[in-house]
Amino acid sequence: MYIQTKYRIGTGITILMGMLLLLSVHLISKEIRYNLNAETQALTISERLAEMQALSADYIAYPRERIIRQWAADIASLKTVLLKARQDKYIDLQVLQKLEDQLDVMDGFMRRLVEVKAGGATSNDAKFYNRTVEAIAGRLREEVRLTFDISLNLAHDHRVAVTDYIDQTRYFYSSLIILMLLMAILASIWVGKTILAPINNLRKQTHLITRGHLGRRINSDTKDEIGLLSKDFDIMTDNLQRTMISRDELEATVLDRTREMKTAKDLAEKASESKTRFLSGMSHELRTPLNAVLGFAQILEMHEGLDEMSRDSVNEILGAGRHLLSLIDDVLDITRIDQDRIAFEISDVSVSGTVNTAVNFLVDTANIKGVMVESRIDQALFVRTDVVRFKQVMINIISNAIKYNKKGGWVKIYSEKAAAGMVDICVADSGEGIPEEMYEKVLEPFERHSSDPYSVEGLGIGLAIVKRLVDVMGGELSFVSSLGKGSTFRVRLKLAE
Amino acid sequence: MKTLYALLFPLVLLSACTDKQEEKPFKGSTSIAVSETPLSAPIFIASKMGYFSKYGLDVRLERFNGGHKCLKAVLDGKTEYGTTSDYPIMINSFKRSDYEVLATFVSSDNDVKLMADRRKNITSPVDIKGKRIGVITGGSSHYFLDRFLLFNNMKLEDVVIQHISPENMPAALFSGEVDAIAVWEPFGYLAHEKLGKDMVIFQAKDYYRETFNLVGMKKTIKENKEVTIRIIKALQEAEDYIQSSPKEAQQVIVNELKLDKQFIEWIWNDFNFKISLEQSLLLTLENEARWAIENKIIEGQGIPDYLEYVNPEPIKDVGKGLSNIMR
Repeated sequence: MYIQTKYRIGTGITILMGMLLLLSVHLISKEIRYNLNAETQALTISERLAEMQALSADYIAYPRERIIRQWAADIASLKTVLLKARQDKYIDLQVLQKLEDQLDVMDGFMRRLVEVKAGGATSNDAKFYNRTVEAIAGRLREEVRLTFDISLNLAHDHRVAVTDYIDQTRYFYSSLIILMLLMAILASIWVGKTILAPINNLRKQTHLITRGHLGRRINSDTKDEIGLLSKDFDIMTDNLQRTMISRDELEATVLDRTREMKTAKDLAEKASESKTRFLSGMSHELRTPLNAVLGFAQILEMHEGLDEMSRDSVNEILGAGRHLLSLIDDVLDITRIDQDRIAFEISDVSVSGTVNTAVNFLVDTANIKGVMVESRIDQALFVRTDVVRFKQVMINIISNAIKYNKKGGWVKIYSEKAAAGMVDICVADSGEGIPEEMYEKVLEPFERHSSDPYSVEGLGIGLAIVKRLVDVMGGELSFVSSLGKGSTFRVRLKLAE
Repeated sequence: MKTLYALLFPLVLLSACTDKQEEKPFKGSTSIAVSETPLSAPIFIASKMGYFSKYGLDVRLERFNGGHKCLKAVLDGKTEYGTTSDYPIMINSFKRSDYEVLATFVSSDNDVKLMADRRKNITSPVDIKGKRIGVITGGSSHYFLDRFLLFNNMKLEDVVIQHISPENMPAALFSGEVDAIAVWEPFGYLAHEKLGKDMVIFQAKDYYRETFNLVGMKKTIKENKEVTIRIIKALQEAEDYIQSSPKEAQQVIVNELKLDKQFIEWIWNDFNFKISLEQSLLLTLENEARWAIENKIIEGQGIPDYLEYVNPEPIKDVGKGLSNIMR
């Protein structure tokens, strides 16, 4: 049975008992009131009869006309009272009839007494007269007394009825209160067993489940709301337990993978470190003889006696040496950045100045390639950065834009306002563009995005260096590209204040 | 266990809250001298219906022909209690004062009747002047006759009084030994049966009100107050039975007294069964005593104090409203 149904039944019983209680109060108070009213009427009759008792005694002793008149008035008055009392259904009609009969008997004796007394004056037999008067008076006294006793008994009967009602009421209410108490106790036991105990069990099991005892279940066999709740709770706990088991398994797997990845990462980092050390060491080792080669080549170049062919060879040595030195410098740069060994000197740097220097540095390359380089940078634009590394960034980006361009192509350098306090320096080209699959790789070192990696000079670390330098300088590098149409690289730096 | 206590608690409370007094176990035996008249109906019914036993009493009923004999049995110590009309109580009050009235359980204003033989030319009260009238001299029939004559402007000297025992009254009237009789029931009925249409019964209902009472010796009552109370309780139940089941009650009396059912119907409505002990009894006794002295039925100097001859305590213990006598 649902708790709601139990609640309704309980409410119904309470209301019913309340109504019964009210009804009983009404009926009992009505009975008591009517009996008290009847008692009052009976006592009124008794009072009149007591008065008549005194009147009859007076008349027997001192017969007076006024007593006879008073007697007649009392008889008439009492008959009226009795007639009125007949309207009261609570007064025993037989008793009222008896009283009326008694009144007639009393009145008869009184009239006889008056008659005898009236004739007494002429009676010659005084003894007979006295005996007759005495006999009638005696009977009158007896009957008046008897009538008085009847009225007293009537009053008493109603008083007893009232007392009985009060006793019965006390007994009834005592029993009712006890019954209600008993019902309250039974209801309490019932509620305890059917509602509180399952709730308590639910609370206890829930407490244990929240403490991690996922194997606990409510196992309620009641068919009420708590039973349904318990069943749902058990189902929920089943699901939770299954989820927890899956989570544990997942966590174990993740831990294994993490461990494996960490191992792999450690290995990779070690490999990278070894690679960096190797590159750094090798670059330093290459740079020394290369500087010697370049130095001697420059000395040779300054020699005036060289023939045309030798001069061309020296120039070839110088070109190749410088290119090689540039590559070695790039490798050294990226290894320094990776090893956090690069130093920056941040200051307010003119963007147009830096860009123009870079363009001038690359103008020959652009001319050879047949690419037009155009710079439109506001001369008042300054950024907070390291001037050397900013220039290196711009050279690398513009250099790439020229390298990966086509003959007759163009490179446009301009600036755009970015978010608050930032500016974008953009380098757009009309080159071949970057394939989409290369978007993620293009900023990684030694990755080339050209369809023919060997058609363009370089190791493929220019953009990687740019990306690292911009990041270290607190800026951001991004690009958009359209295959066959060109790319736009965007360097976002902090504006000078 | 807690539940058991919780359930027992209200029951204990209930027994504490209800003050209904249960009848205590009691075992007692006594004897009642009972007059063989329908006026003794409550005694016979209490015995027959087991009301005496209900109150733990083993009552031996001794039957006598008339209340005066019952009172004598009590006074002689043959029985502990007796049933008698008021008149013998009055008569004996001039001789002794060691007995007392405990309750009036019935009254009748028509038990004693004046019945005459129509064949003797008696049709109205005045016709009995000079006639022979059978009475139990010195008894209540004598008292009744005097009242009757006085209320009809006659005196005892105007008639010829002839003493006849009550059981012989019907035959005496039928045989013509007397012209009229003043007698109580059932002899009035028997006389009526004999004379039939020749019987004249004078309406004299208000002349004498007879009561039937429970009496006992003062000493016995003092020593056995509980027995007295229980007898009164049993009589009260018998009267409740009479009120609630009058036909059945009448049948009990018919069976007990071997009476004609028609007789019971003849007299039953004259009886007022109500257990009480009222002041009016004292007045009745005083009136009777005054008459007895005047008519030299007894030799007495003055009217006894009848308050000494009633004991309202036991009946008040049964119900406070059953007696208005203060002693």
